[in-house]
Amino acid sequence: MKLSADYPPHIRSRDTSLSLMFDVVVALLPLYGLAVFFYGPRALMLALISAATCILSDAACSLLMGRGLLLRDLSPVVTGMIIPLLLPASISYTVVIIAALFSSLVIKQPFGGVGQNIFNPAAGGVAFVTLCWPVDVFSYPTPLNTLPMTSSPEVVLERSVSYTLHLGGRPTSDYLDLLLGNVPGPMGATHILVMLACLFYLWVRRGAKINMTGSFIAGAAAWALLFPRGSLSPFESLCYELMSGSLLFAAIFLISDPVTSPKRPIARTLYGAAGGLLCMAFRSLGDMEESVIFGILVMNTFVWLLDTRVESLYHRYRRERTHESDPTQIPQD
Amino acid sequence: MRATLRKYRKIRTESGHILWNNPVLTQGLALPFAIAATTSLKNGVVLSAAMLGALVCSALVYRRFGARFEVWMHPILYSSVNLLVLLGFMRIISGWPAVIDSLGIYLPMVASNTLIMHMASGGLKAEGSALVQSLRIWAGFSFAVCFLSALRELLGAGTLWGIPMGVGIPSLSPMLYPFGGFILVGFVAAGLKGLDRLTLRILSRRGKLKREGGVAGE
Amino acid sequence: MNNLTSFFSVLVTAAIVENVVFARALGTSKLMDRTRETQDVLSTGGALTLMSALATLCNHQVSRIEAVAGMRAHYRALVYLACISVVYMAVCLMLRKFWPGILRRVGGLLSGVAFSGALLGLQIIALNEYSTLFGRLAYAIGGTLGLVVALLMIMFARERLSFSRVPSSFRGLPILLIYIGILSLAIYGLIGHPLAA
Repeated sequence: MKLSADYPPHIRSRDTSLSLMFDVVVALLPLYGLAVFFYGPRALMLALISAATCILSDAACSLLMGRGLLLRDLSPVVTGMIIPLLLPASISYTVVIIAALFSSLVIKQPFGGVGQNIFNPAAGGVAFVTLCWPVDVFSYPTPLNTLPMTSSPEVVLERSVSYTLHLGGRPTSDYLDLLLGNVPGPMGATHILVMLACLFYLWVRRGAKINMTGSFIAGAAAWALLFPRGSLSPFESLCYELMSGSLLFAAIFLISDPVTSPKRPIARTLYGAAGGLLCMAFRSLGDMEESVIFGILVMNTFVWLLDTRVESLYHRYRRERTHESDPTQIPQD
Repeated sequence: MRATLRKYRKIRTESGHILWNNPVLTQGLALPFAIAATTSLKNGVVLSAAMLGALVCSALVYRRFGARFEVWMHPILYSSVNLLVLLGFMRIISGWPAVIDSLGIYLPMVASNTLIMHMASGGLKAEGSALVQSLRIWAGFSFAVCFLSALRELLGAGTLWGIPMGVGIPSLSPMLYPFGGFILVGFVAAGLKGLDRLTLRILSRRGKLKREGGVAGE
Repeated sequence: MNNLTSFFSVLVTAAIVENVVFARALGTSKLMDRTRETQDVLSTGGALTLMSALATLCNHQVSRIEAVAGMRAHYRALVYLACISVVYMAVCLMLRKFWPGILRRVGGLLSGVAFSGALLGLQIIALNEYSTLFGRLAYAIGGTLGLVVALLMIMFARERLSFSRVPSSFRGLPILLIYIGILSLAIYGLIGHPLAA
């Protein structure tokens, strides 16, 4: 009998990494469609440049480490597509390339490549360029303005709703504008209705595995209700906080990354809730107008702790249940 | 080819403290200097100069007086000696207030840090000159700190010793923050390890091929 | 009540926002040795908290001497180091007189902690940034608590990394430093700007 050793997990499922990644790519396409509608073909150019950089750097690292090319691996495509959606449509191509390179060469490859990274690559790349170019990352073009295809277009830039909230002010944007994405903001994170549709698609495809997204939103909502910023009422705080910045985008596409999230349902729920609270704490107490991605990176470090502790609780619970139902049976662990 | 491999291994052992057994990059000593204080080449050079005095004095004091004191008193001995050394050094560089401010809390830490404590509590071999051994350790520290300082200043500010270099790389100011230091030190340490393994693998493989009669020449 | 609130606010600032490991890279030497087990981390933290509290009390009195208060910051730091040496000597002499067995067991840990960059760095920052004993103690103790939390996180990271297919060149110290760097990057999202050295 030929035995082959491999790393865990060894659990079979109808979902493969290819199908999971493909679902995410499909879910991101409507956001790109709307980005092209609002800002022109420059949005697609950013996606192409970002994805190409991620694919090439992943391939180069795989060849350098003697791992060979993984042609059915869509993870660099997913990372490459997510990065521009968290940035303004007017961002320079250089910034996007640096974000993509950082996500691949620092966040992903040193930890072992596909499926081994501890931190979310897209969040890491965007976090790095946010610290490098905070003014550029937080200045947005007005929607429904086709942007030129040059590397650094000269356009009028505005501040987003997050900036007003950060200063303790009252945003003047309509709820309807926020739902339809007709406000300045990150390229793919302003269209609330479309993102909810993407969430619905992912829920249908993945079944009950969106408890992380749900608990994340619940945690963020709880903080927004209890600690409204400025002179907002709890209801206004809830609406503006959930619909501004990249909070909802992070809840749908970043927190639920299968590689950097816990395995058990209860651990996922706890992770999501804690993530929502932490991201809102970063928003309220941090120096930057939008620091949800930094909160995601901090939460990624607790995944191992949650997995091991919840697993040992499960073992204890199964041992006790087995012992209760049949005291003579030796519990199998 | 076997002679080349043996020669490489000999060089590796003799110059170990600079590259392959670097006290900062391999052994993980005096990391705060390498990570947080290396924001410009000037900082790196000043730190190296300060550490030279501290290491040499600690090594000589340990060799001369170490046996007379109990083990728990040794750190006090070295800190006291290094305090005086650093006092004199700070007087010498008092004409560079910008560098002193830039180094901040890290310059006084030269008087007492893990590198000195490690060297004096077993890092020095009983045989051989204490001065030569401390200079070797200093060479490793100096290489690490100066190399990282130059790299971070180039990447973070686009300058070297304050002179704009005009290279095509965009200046990434966060490379001057501690997290930039952590990541760069990690990559440089990995790079050294990788280079060593690659060299050993190439030399071993060529030697093996030659023994099997596969390579002409040499 | 006000005093208690400000004490905890300074403690939390020192432990989280200005964490000595992630924001200043202090206490990062000999990472591989100090983060093997929870016991190592907690004993390091305990020793550091004790030395930090005693050193702050001593340094606070010394900093009020006119000659010391008038010195430039980098010379004052050397005075603080001298005080730390005196505190360490007092603790060791007391242990040697009454509990020599304990001194033999923890002597190495005590010297490693007393003369580490973390303690001296915390003392310099606490004494420069705050003028009251309360504020200085809060910062010093908060800083050591932050160090313990950081070392525990690094210990969990080592456990996690042992299950990853890390490339051979990155195994050990390099990948641990990159991990801490990314975590430090995340904490900078809270601070938003570099801290003064």
